Order: sequence, then structure tokens, then C-alpha cells
Amino acid sequence: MYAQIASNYRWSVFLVLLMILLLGAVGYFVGGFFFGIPPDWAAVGAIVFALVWFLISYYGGKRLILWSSGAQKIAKEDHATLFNVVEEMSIAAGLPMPEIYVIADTAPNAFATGRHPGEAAIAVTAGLLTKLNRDELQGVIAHEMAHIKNHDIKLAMLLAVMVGTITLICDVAWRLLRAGVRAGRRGRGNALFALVAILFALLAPLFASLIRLAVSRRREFLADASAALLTRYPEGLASALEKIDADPEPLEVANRATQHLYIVNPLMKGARQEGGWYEKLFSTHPPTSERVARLRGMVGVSLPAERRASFLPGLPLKEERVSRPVGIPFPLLARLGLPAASVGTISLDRPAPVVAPEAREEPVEPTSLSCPRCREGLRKVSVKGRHLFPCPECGGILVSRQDLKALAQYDHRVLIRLDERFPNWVGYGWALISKKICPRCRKPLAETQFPEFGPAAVDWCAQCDLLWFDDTELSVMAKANASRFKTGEQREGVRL
Amino acid sequence: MPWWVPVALLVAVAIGLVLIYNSFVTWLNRVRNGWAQIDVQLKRRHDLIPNLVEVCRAYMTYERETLESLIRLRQEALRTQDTKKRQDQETQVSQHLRQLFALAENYPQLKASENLLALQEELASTENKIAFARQFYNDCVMEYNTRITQFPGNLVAWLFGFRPQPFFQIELASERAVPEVRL
Repeated sequence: MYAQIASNYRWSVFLVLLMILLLGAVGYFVGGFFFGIPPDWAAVGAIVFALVWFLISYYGGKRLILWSSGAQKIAKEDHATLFNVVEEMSIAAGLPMPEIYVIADTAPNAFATGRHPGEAAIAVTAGLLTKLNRDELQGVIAHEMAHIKNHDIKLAMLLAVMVGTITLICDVAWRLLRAGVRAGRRGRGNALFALVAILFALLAPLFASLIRLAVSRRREFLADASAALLTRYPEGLASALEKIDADPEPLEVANRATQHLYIVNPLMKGARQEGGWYEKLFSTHPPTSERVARLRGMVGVSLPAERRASFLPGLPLKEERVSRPVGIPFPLLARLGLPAASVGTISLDRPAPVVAPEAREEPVEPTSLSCPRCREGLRKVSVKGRHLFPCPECGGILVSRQDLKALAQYDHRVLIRLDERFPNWVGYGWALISKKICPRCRKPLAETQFPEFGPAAVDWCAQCDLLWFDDTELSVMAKANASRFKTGEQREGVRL
Repeated sequence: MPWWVPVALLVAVAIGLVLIYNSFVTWLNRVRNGWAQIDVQLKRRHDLIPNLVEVCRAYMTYERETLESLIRLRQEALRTQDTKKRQDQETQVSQHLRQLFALAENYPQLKASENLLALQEELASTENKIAFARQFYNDCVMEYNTRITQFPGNLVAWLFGFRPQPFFQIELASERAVPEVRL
């Protein structure tokens, strides 16, 4: 490990010196020959610029990377489980607690960055939280913590900002050049520009291979191994890597400059790794299958299942709890600006409802009320002049007591149909946090029994006389009391 | 032999001595820090127990004994000064917590209570943190003990009185036992 830290330090120094020299040379030639500045002065200017650039990437690199990835800082209240998992790993590694960021992207991935362990940051995507269970998340966080402990993050950060800027310039120059050639414009200014652009375009692969060399595959293997040592459970990380690699969604915020930061290269996931020579040559990470094979090959590291996380160690394991994704609490989801349906990969308890073609769909209107459970805006559906307020996210339904009584007497199948029309898109992972409150008076709902609606307790606001049914509760209630309620055939003569 | 050879040798030995001594101090501090972290997490667990008991009491009518013995154990552990005895008591607290959560499975309303679920996450995480703090402490102790017993470190350790530190032993018989394989 100490050899690794020393190697990272040497590489960082080498990288910085190389960049400064290279920029000096570029300044010497470009400034000297094309713009008529004395070459010596141009070189000095370029080196000064490179120094300032280095200082910016060194001290502002973390913020720059996090900002360009669209990462948002979170506190313990936002996501207790994620916070706990990071804290557990920081204790296991004996490091200070890093800052935690969440990226509003549904592709699962994660990275760590920062200058040194004292001010490191770990960023995870929303997709990671909705697709991995607690053990897998712990494996990923342990991998990032290992990068922090091995001081990989400083070099990776410098690479991302300094080399990233150059590859960015090269990309832009290359595209401009091709656009110019296609437009067929020729001229003195363009010829000069084309020359510079070709120079940059030639440099781009050079820098790509520099990234590959510096962030060698060994570093990833080492971080995987250290992660297994921290969690004492390599299967968690192995299974997480497989899930991340197999996920088809692209990570929009990743680019050539930041690809090497992530736990699995977001630009070369899955089959692309085994692709052509170009992919192999410029890959920043070893193939995921090889990483997984090495993790699974670690014998004698694993803790017995009863001792590891997921929930209280020492209790008999319940499969549904262990495999449940971590999920994202609703307030955080709203802050990230993600629609709940887009991260709807949280396991749904039942398949999506099939709406009978003959069923007339009542129009759905928006309202200013917010869902007692998930704070999403409730919708309004009117049936025979009575109103139901379903939540399009969590599938619960709010209704006043009189309206429910009237509708149940009119046709209880309407209630079942409406409940099935609004399914739960988000599972119950977030239920840990939210407390149900009345959308009208903001007071907490109380569980109360109503003889006319059967023996099951219902969330009720005493002040507004509103009832709240969580997803499927309404149809369960309607089915259970079917004999008591009238059906459509009997509804003639019933006045609403 | 020129005069500076013995001087250079002496300087080299002195530098080596300083380096070894400093590395011992660093590792001893890590060991102490590891121990402090275990203590912090144990304290945290004690802070969570009253909340847990409060939540469970509302639903659990038949488990009064379990709740009361958990409270009693917590108070005893808080008062104990002796490290060895404290370890035993903390182990018993762990066992009682597990028992309580296993019993909670019999109360559907309690099991579904959001307060209990949140507390369960916090307590499970605290148990993990205790385990990871113990793991870190033991790793540090191993590194430190190796350094002070290896040559030439053992001479420096003997000279300045660095003693080997004890490992944090796992006291639970169930944790030491080989887990049975369920098919």
C-alpha cells in the first residue's frame, strides 16, 4: 500500500512536469511562429499559464469534477442508509468521513475524488441506490474508500482536470476541422487553423493512452482487493460490479476526461470491453469479468452471512430484506429533480396492471395538494361528481369519507379499477423516512378503524375527515367488503 | 580509519532510532484511536436503546421482561469501569438487542412501524460500525505488535518501554462458532 502511495506521488509529479513542459513547447512554437510574439516570451507565458492551471486543478479540481458531473452534496437526513454505509467504511479504513454527493442519473456508477483523505468526496448516482442492495452498495463504497486510502484520488483528479482539458480542446478542434473540410472553405486563416487542429487531433490519442498508463489497471485490482479486506465480503462488490456492468443505461454526465474516475468505466461497459483493439488499448479499467473472477476467487475472506450487514447482524437473514435495493427517500428524489418513474427499478410487488379495454378512463386533473406519503402532487379523478385524489407516484389514494361511502354504494369495482390504475412506482424503500401527514391541514394522520369499511385500520385525518389508502389498500378493502357494497348490477335506484 | 567513519555510523544509528521510535508512536496512536472509535460507537448504541424501548413498549405487551432486562443491562454497562467486565456486558446488550428484534417479528404492527424500521437501520449500522471499529483496532494492533517484536524494532521497544497491545477478542460463542450450512 505504501508503495502504491509513493507511486501515485511520483506519477502526479511526472504528470504535472510533463504538462508544464508540453505547454511551454506549444507556446514556444504556436505563439512564436503564428502570432509573432518572441518565442522565449511565449514559452514563459505558456509555462506561467500552465502553473496557474495546475494550481486551479489542484485546489479546485474536486469542486470542478463534482460540478461538471452534476453532483449534489447530501446530509444524513437526506439518505440515512447511504450515510451509514459510508461511515461504516470510513471507520473500517480508519479515515475521516468523506463528503457524500449524489448524481441525478439513473445509470448506476460511483467515484471518489479530492486532494487527500482529509477532504475527499464520494459521489454515487441515483441509479446505484435504486439498483443495488445494502451489501453491494457497501462493496462499492469500500472500493472508493480504498482509492482514497491509497491516494489514488489526487492523481485521478489531476488527470481528469489537466488531461481532460486538453482532450476536450482536441475534441473540439477535431470536430471544427472536419466541419470546416466538409464545408469546403479554404483560406489562409483556415489553413493555419487546420494545422493547429491536426496537431491537437494527433495529440488526443497520446493523452488518452497517458490516462491509461497512469491510472493503470493494477490500481483497480488493488482497490477491489482492499475493498474486500475492508468489508470482509468480496461477493458484495463482485455482484455490484456485475450489476453496474450489465446495466444498459448510459451515464450522461461521464466523458473522456472523467471516465477513469468511475468504478466501472461508463463509456466502455459490458460487451464494448471485449470489442476491438482500440477499446482494449485505451481502456482505463480491466474487464469487469476479470475483476469479478478475482473477487470470487478470494477464499477465506468472507464473513458468515449472519455477521454481515443488511440488517442487524446475528439475526436470521430474510431473503426479501437482504435483496431489497437501498432506494432513495422521496425528499431527496425531488431535490435531484428525478421523476420517480425514471428510477422505477425498485422492485414492484406486483406486475403493472392491465387495464381492460372497455374500462372508461376518467380524466385526470392536477391539484395543489401534495401526497401525504411521498409529497408528490396529487391528481384528481371525478366519478359521478365524487372526487378521488390518487398519487401518481406511490399509488396511494386520498378520499373524503362521504365520497368513499357514496362511491362504495354506487359500485365498489370503480374503487378497485382506480386503485389499479395508479400503481406504486417506487416501492417502499423510502417508507423509513416519511411520516404521513394530511395534505390539507398538515397534521399527522392517525390509524383508525371504520366499521363501514371493514376491520382494517385506515389512515385518517380527524379534522378534515379525509381517508388515505396506501397502494393496494383501497382495492383490498373494496374486495373484502364486496358483499356489503352494492355492485354495478344493483346500482339502479341508488342516488348519489 | 579516518575520524569521520565512527561519527557517520553514530549519526546513521541515531537517525534510524528516531525513525523507528516515531513509527512506534504513530502506530500506538492509531491503536488508541481505534479503541476510542469502538467506545464512541458503543456509546452511540447506548443512546439509541431508550428510543428503541420506547417504540417497542407501545406494542409489546408480553415482552416486558426482555425490555426491562435490556434497560438494566444498559445502565450496568454505563456504570462499569472495568474493561473486561464491560466487554462482557456489551456482548450481553448485543444479544438482548437481537432477541428483541427477533421478537418484534411476532408483532405485525410493530414490524411495520416506521419508527422501528428507522431505529433498526440505525442500530444495525451501529452494530456494523462496532464490528468495523474492532476490525480496524485489531489490524492496527497486529501491525504495531509486529513492529515492536521484529528486529531491530524490538531493541528500540525494549529501550523505551513499548509494550504489546491486547487484541479485542470476540466474546460471543455464536460468532466464534463455525456457521452451520443451511440447505
